[in-house]
Amino acid sequence: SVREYLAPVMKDSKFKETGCLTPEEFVVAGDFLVYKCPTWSWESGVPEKLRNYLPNDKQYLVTRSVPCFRRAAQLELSENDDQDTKEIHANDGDDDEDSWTYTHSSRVAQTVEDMAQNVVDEEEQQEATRRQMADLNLDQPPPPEDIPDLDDIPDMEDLVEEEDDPAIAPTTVTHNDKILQVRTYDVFITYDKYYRTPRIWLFGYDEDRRPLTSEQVFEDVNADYVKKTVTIEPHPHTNLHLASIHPCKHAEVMMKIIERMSTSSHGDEIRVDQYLIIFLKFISSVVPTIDYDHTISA
Amino acid sequence: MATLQFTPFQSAVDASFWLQLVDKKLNVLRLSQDAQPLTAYYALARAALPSLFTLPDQALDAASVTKPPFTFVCHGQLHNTNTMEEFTQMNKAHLTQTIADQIWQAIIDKRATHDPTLLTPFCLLTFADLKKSRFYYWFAFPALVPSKPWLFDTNASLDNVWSSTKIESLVASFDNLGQPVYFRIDSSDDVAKAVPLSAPLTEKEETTPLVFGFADPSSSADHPGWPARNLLAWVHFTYPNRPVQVLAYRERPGQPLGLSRLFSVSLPSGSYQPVKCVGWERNEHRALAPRMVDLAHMLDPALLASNAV
Repeated sequence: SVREYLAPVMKDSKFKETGCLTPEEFVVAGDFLVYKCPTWSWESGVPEKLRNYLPNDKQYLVTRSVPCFRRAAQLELSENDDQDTKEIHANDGDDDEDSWTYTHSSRVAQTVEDMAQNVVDEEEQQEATRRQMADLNLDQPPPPEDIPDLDDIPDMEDLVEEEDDPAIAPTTVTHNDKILQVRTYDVFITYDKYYRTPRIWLFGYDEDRRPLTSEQVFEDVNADYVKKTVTIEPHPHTNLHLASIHPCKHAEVMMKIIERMSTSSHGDEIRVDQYLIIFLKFISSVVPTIDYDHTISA
Repeated sequence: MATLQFTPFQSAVDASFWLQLVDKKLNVLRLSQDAQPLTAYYALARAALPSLFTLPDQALDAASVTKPPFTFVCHGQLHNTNTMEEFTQMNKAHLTQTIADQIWQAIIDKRATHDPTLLTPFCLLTFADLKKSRFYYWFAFPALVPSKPWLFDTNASLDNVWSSTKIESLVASFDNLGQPVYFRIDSSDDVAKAVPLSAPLTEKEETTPLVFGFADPSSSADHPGWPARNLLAWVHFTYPNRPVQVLAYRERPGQPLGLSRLFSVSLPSGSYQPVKCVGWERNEHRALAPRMVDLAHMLDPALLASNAV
């Protein structure tokens, strides 16, 4: 976009004061994420979209085929959620576009400060989510998705004749062998030069590895974020249109989280390379059922 | 003794791959239907997930494929047809039989011993309907089929049969060996060492059951994954009439081998002659038929317009 093109590249680190990152810091934080969580890796994207303020081989981060066991609404239903939603009006504007909703689990988050505190307590939250995941009835197949008209596929059965092979495992789920057909997501983190923060992109596949429509992707986003902050836009490094969590409030939230963590962690300084790990904890409140790896072992 | 069954792959094509294919077709291949080399990979098993076989966006350009950690490269060939008729009428059995013959040849002339990726080829048949941005595709993962199926008499969780120090030593030597797709395991009471398939047997191994490992995409407790099949064909030819154990190696980053299984297997009076194979992927209706992906709703409108010309 023009706005992004015109924005100067940020050079001086102000991540604690502003929640923003320079491209160099984005790379440092990305390297740390890849080191701590090896399911993430750097990619370069299509050559004509290379950004010169990032190394060619470190244009964006990706983790692929992340399982998403159920829809966000199913998670919310299991919590008393009506009370949990409050809109927060940012100081700098009154119009609707600037109001943001923070909901996280069963906590009432009334301010950005509360939101930040919630993320500081993320470890607990993660445990709770994992327990909920574990409690899922894995034997129950997911509700059937709309299956496209079979007429679209030419009638080709019988064109391949394979002998019945007793050594092919049955595809049906047996009790002690819980193989699920689940949605999977490719999750991308790009650097947004205008907002000077990381930005999350989601590409979803259904249980049969067909790309999800945007409406289907929205089923995996916390309902409070769907309308205001998740949009379908061109991915900056590929030619696809993907769902993205709009970064306009990322810096503010990150600043508060970092502030909170600094005061709660006995004076241990938050380092800039930990930024993305913290950021991913925050994002997991937006897409609570997409089970990507942001665990950090001390 | 029960029949050993294998978990089939589930193909997972990165949506961006189709854009690369369109680009290559419009600018390089045009009407050529020559087979094109493909590079893909599969990842180690993840609990409760199917055996995903990923075709990345850069699959047509081997040099630029970025392989995530804990994945295993497979080399394949793309057959892109120009019309739906050619797609449907392509002799698919011939296609996979040709690949199966090549696998068998690589086994008997020992090339597969030194380059085990020759045991994991695949092929992909495609037709790109550019006007509608629809892509029809069908994967085959050719697996050699013996005249009588492999049997197993034990199937144990590795945690239950090996000590944790032994498991740790295996993980370390697997990494040192560069995370090979197939390997042999030189094993004693407390130590297990991954060695290449080409390594000569130790004196002790001459008299004990041989243990072979493979990087396993299957998370099933009952079934090893598809790559075990051609390994067993190789074992049958290379070490005939030996008691064999197969380790389904399933490591997650930062985690031990909790999902890994150890199978004791045997092929009773069977053979791999004549060379037969299976492997065409079943679609979402469990039918031996192709899959279709419709990208019209997520492509850049400008790109859509230029493709439609």
